Amino acid sequence: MTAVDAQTLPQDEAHDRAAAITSRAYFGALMRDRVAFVSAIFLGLLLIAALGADLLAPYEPNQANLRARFVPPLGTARDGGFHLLGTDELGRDLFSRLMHGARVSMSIGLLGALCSGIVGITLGVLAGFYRGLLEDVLMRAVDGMMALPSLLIALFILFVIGPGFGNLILIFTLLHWMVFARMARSLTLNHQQHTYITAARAIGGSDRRIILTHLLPNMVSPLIVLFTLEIAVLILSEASLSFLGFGVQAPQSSWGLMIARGREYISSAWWLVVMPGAAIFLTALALNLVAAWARAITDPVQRWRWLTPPRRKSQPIDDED
Amino acid sequence: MRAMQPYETLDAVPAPLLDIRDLRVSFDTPHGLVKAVGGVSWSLSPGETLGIIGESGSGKSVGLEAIMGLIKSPPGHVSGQVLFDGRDVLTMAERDRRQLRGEKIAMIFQDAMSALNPSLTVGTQIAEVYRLRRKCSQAEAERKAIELMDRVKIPSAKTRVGCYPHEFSGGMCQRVMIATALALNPQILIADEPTTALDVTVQRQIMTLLAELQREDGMALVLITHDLGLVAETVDRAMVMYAGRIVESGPVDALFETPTHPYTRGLIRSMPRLDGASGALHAIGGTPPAAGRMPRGCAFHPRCEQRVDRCLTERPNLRMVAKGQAAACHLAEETRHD
Amino acid sequence: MTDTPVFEVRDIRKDYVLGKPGLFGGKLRSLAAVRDVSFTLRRGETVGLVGESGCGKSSLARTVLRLNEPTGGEVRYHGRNILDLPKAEMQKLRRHIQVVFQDPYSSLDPRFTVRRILSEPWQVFPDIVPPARREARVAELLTLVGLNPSDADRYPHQFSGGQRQRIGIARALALEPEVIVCDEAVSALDVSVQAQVVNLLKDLQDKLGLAYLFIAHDLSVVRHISDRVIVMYLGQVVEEGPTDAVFRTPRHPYTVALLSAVPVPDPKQKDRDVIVLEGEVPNPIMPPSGCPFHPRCAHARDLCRQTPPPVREVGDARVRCHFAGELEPAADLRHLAGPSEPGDRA
Repeated sequence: MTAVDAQTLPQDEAHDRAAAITSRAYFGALMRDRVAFVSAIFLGLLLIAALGADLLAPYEPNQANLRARFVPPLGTARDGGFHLLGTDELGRDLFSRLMHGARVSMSIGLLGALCSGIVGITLGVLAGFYRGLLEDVLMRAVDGMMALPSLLIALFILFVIGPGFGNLILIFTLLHWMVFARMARSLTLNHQQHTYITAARAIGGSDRRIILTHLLPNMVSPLIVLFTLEIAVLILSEASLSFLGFGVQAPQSSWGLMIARGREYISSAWWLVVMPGAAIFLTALALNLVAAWARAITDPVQRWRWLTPPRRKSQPIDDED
Repeated sequence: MRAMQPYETLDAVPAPLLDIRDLRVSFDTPHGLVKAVGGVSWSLSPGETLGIIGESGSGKSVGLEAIMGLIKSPPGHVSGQVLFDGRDVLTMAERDRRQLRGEKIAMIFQDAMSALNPSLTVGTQIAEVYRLRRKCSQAEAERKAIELMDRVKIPSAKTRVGCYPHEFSGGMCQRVMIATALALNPQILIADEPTTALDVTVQRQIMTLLAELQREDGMALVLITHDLGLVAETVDRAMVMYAGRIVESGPVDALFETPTHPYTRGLIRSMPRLDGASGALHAIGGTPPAAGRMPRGCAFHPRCEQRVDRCLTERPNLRMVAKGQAAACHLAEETRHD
Repeated sequence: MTDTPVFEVRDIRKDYVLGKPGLFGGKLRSLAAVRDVSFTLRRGETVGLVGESGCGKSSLARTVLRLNEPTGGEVRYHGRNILDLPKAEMQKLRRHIQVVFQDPYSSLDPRFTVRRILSEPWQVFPDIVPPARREARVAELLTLVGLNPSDADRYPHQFSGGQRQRIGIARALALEPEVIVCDEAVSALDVSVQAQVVNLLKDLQDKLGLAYLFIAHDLSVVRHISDRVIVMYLGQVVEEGPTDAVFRTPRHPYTVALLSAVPVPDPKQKDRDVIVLEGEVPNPIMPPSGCPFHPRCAHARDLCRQTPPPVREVGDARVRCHFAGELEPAADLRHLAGPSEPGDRA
């Protein structure tokens, strides 16, 4: 047996460091990935702006000021007020309105994606795991719902139950869970082919255990990406509904509603559309970049790339010649 | 058939068809430059059958890919010389190299099923190279495909020429691959683990087929494999690779009769045998070094039972130990007849 | 070796129904992946199971583990038929019958450290190792399979194929089973590493008295490790008996062909006559009439085409062939005879 004993080769330092990972190491890795770092800072500032809008906004968001109508970005109104991102047709400060709108848009995006994600992933995983009738019924339902004109349905339901924040989330869950269900199901089918799932069953693991400890954690990465994309999609959907008058009700405002209103003036005051549009775009982008980073850093196979300082290229690492 | 060749030097004597000199392959990785093949030289005569034995990560496949000019640079770096009929494959224009790849040197792989395009018929794929090079008509290409399928003994070729790869078994897919490789009558066929994914009886069919084709066409065959049995039965001459280098080479009878490098010996002894000689298998302890973590000195020393101090610091060169047989071990002479 | 059968499989059968019934009914096609296979495993014994792809050996493995539900037959663990057990009881019983898989790359959860992989079984069966002892037990298991206890905090991808297979074996051992099904457990490994794992399995068997069902397509490995061997073809056992008997004097023409086809690592034998079987394994959806091997059998006669052969006892072996014991093998089988030079195997 002596000849058989595997001798342990010198272990790679990077791998070892990756094994004992601390929150500090995470932070260090975030600092090193500049794109993800900037994105994280952007999201952080956005969060502060949304939560602290009442205190931090330079102007009252709904305060009309006819002497300050259509001030361009970085412009000064006739009354001497400086407007970072300009003002709208009623002379309201765009920057302040964006800060307040962030609250609505972000919470609709996040909550909507979260609710539809929970519903969709649960159903999708169950369908993929148990197959059979559940899967057939569910997947036909998904196909059917995907074929429906979602905006029309949303309008119809909102017309019946009335507009409002809660109802909006309900509609979004109803109309967006299929995206998650479809992906969760195919991921489940895919991962079930891996023998570690069979192995978990062979040690007597219950279905619940297999799903919660083996399946879901291994599916997280692609689902996170889908989740961030959905947030952006939902922010835009809310915009369409609000534009048609069934979404957020004035004087409350959201980024989508601002774009909708600003469209009338697009030829004369471009910033009314561009600024909230840029806010949506940047938020979605930052979410995606941070998600990509988070995906890599939580994957034990890939994370060493982020946790080791880059080596000089073409520097031989074997001790020969 | 041509096994009776004098082995005066490490290289086969007749003008070699393929002459590899000090081939080195390395790759840029986030960890730095990693060597996959370090200084390998060998040659191949027309019609010869050469075996390359090695475990995963030994550099046996990467070396052949480099010879075929299939290594992308960056991240790969290839140096040395690969002379085909006296012309260096590594320095020639990509166009000439492609020409060479199609016409003179062909390659078949382990996983035939995934090497074939699932959405094209096997007939189309077999005749594809032929059509491109010979610029022939669709009808002629199909005739050629059927002819080739007959040659590799695919039954009822006429009706199956329009089938898709998924309608074929693994063994049949490998036959399709071989037919594809034969389309332009290459002088060298490189077979990279051609039967590893197949069952024993199918493996026997494929190896019999390859031997037959070789006899008919006189092409040289390079068989890359980890299976010592296949090597013993198929090739004239073999090389054993470990950690990117040749550790032993020679006529196959000598290699099995008097294996000289401790790794070769270990490999032969670690194979369970059909004749039932029982007892514990003589396993080689440890694992092959990972790329980029090469030990100093002789790469095999951490697993070697007979190592001496010199092995830890100085890398042994491949040198003649008997007629035609070479080994890279400091103790080759002493341990050879133990 | 004691004589109590730990594990008994009787006439097990697994049919797969192909496709779903159409909207308007229609006949269902089915595939008999495993047909009436029986064998017995005693303490400390290894039964080898060989056959080519599609012969049903993997289906058999999954079926006796009840990872797939069999269509018929019995699987007895210490005399108790485990196929009748309700799901919850079956889960409890799993600790006694463990499995080691072929692919060392996909059989370990990539997100788990080795420690978590090895202690997961104890979360399902908390009584086996008390929480306070688990840390030490992980180290013991790692040492037992030839790994370093300090490897516990590493992830599967940081190990080589052979080392991962050791982890897989350690996981199976964590539940202190009596039976381990090795489903192509060494097939994916390099020769030198394969020998290590084979030796490890034998060693563990001696120490712990494990019973193995060792499934492999590599005849040499099966020859080396098994006490008894079963040869399968198209879902059926065609030959079964003590390893020595089957490998030295194979009686079924398929066994003969199989053994003849194995390449022998000895250049001196390369000119021996070899049976090259024609054709391929038939489609199991439409198995041939009579003896399933007859289309490829050199000895086939009319009887073989019409009547399925009975199982005949020839010496110690049981052979499913009309002419078992009456045929001269058509191949040169001297490579099976024994070491050509007794001393060449140090």
